[in-house]
Amino acid sequence: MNASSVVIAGQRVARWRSALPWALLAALALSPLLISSPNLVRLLFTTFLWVTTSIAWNLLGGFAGQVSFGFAVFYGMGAYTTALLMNAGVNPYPAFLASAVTAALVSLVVGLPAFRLRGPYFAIATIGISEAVRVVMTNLGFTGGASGYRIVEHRPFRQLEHYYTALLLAAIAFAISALVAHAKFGLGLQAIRQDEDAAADVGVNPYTYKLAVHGLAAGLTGVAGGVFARYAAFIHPGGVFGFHTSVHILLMPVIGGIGTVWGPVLGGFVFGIVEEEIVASFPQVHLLIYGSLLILIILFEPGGILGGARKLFRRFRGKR
Amino acid sequence: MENVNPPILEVEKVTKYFGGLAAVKDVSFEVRQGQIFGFIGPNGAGKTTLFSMIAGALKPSSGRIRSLGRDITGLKPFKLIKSGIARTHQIVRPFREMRVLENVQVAVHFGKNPITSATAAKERAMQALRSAGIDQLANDPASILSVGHQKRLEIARALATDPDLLLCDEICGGLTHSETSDMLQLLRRIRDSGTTVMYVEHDVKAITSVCDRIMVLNYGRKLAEGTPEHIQSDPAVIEAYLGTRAPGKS
Amino acid sequence: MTLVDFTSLVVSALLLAGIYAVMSVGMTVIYGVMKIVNLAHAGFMMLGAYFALELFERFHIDPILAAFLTFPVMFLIGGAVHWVLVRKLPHSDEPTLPSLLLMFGLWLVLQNLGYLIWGNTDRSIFTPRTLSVVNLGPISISTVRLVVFVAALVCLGLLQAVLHYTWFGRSVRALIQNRRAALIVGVYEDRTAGIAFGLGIGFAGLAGGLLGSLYSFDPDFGRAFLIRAFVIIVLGGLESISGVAIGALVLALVETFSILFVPAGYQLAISFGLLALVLIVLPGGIASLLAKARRLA
Repeated sequence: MNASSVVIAGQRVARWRSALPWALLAALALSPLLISSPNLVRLLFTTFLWVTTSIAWNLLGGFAGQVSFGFAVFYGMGAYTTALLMNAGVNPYPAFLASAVTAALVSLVVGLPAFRLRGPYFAIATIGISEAVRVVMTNLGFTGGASGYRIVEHRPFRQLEHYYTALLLAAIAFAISALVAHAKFGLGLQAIRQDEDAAADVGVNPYTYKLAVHGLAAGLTGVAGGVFARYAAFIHPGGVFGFHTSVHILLMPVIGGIGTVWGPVLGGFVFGIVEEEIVASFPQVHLLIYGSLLILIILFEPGGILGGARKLFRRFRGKR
Repeated sequence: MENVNPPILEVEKVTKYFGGLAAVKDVSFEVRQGQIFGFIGPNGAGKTTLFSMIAGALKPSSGRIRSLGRDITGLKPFKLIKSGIARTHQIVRPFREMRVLENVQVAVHFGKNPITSATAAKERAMQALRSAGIDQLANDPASILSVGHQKRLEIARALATDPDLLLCDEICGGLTHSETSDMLQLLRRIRDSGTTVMYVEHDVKAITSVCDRIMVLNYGRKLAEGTPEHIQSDPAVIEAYLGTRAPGKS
Repeated sequence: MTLVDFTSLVVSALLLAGIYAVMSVGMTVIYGVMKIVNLAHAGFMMLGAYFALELFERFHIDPILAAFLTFPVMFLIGGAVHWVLVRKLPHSDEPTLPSLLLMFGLWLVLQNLGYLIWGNTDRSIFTPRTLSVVNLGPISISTVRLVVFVAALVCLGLLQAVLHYTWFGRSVRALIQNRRAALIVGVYEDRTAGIAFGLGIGFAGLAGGLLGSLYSFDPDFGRAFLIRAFVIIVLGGLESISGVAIGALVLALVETFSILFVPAGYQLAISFGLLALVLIVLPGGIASLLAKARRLA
């Protein structure tokens, strides 16, 4: 292999890589039309929402390195915002937008004190805030309290509409993530993650940057919550505000490949599909599985599935 | 020709207490534009503390710091960048998971004259790498660089923020003799291109050979200030720091 | 409010502070020596509670004694966990993300083990002592709370003694204050860290056992206390027992007196409100003040 053939091979790889998201999008957009299976549609719908929250979390946790255990707050706020607005007669799509805004505002309330803490302290603070919000929402009257809240939608239930809404949301999230990654915003986040003080020494304002990415991530997660609420037509604090929701949101990008663009997508798909299977067959061990997975990933392959795959690929290439 | 512009750095009676101990006491000095201004002092003299206060890492207990007439006392580092003051680190702090070019690119994006476009920022970053003499390392991971190159990366990164004043924290620490003289040449080039340099150093020979003006600290107070020749022959300085007869530049 | 009522509340707060303190020292020791934020602390507290429950129900051992008996068992478990898992983490002078996620994963595993072994119904340790009351003048105190408080003080006292009068304790304090210097003077980091980790887990179990006498629990037990431990650590500083005591006292006072204004369900929100307030008034909390001091280098 001479130099020019390596360059050409590299260009070919690059073209594959930029075509991949579009190919995937097309495949997913067409599949419900080609394969008629309501179960598959439902599975993919849920997976798209997971992918969205996974990508969103990764913006803050992967790019900026701020690990939050409290994303259920935004998911739940989004869910309840959409639910309340729809019951007041608002069209779902503006309601989703309102969910994004509410979630982003809440992220400010959380972030302004919490980002004064660094690293793990921030993480624990998010656990507490998330729990505090759940407690408050469980006790609140007009949202139905602990017994939950029902959405009444006076339109026929069209599964495909939900499907494409969720797919669009996931696509938007992916686009945002890909654009941010190599632009000024993304570099600033990476700098903060790698050395916050050195980043400040070259002009990055860590506090406002963290607040900004937090708001973006929260907004995306809030819309996901809203889309879920509309689909499910019934939500309750133990579910959408539950700690396990925060855990799942965090697990996906870590499993898939934290800090990358495709990692959260991979993690979202793996999680969505595996969760369906596990919850069906072995409901009592799913914490065990996720906990062990997390431990194994941290100790042996911090780059997650994507990291492991890259290593294998490189070794394979090296052998030629 | 007398420089009538406001000084690029004006430190006025700056003091820093840690508990009951004054690490820096009533230090005042000025740095004029277009100089290389150095300060030295024995261990514990308060050099690092003073540097940290100017670089925004510490707040003075009292006193004021000004740049071009504006009060910059206690400003955070990212604000100082916008005021045209950038620093290097004594123990290098590259962004280890980025390549050399990306390290500098960050600085270009967030410097005094920030550039938003990634392509344009990369261009400007290459320029900075060229000025620092490490453009050939642009695609290398920052973590594998030698100490000498990492120090140059610190400088390239700081320069990429378009500073009027560059604060160098013991930039020659850990360098070989020839690397040191190359580094000093680089500092002279930086000064000649219009950026003022303020330089804290342990290495007396380096400081005296490159600086236009030197300030000597001892026990947190200013002991002397003047040209290298003046400092080397000042008896108080000799007694406190240099010990015996000062080694001449030759 | 009468003086008697006020004093009652203060006494209540004091008793609570003792519990909170012993609950937090486990986390503090591990953090101080290894800069690891031990999220699995909650899981080990939960195990301690269940272990004490088992000893009480199967062997009719007094629950307080059972709590103390959990210490050696949990100490060994802690040592094992350190040997198998924690040791593999890279050493650091600052808390790292991988260590956080590792301990979190461990917590999930422990929770699940709890569910598998004991199911998800609430359990509690119920003895005649639970309902009885001690009268100090006009104030009546729940006996079990008083006993637990005394036990907590004993623990803290023992820990202080170990830290200040044993060779091991000195190594631990050396590592806490300056890891590199400690290594240079010959402290065996791995061995000391292993023992310190075991100690931290041991105290977690012990605290869990004591708490089990006061509150009902299920395998998710510990999350609320974990958060409180964190609030205490941020309030009082991370690296000294006296700091923990101060933080515990402040939190206990705030929580106890807040019952006058706010329904009991909102307790956790109060603790967090306190933390938020501290962070706004003292930006960065105490943890980042320490980080700022380190930044000088």
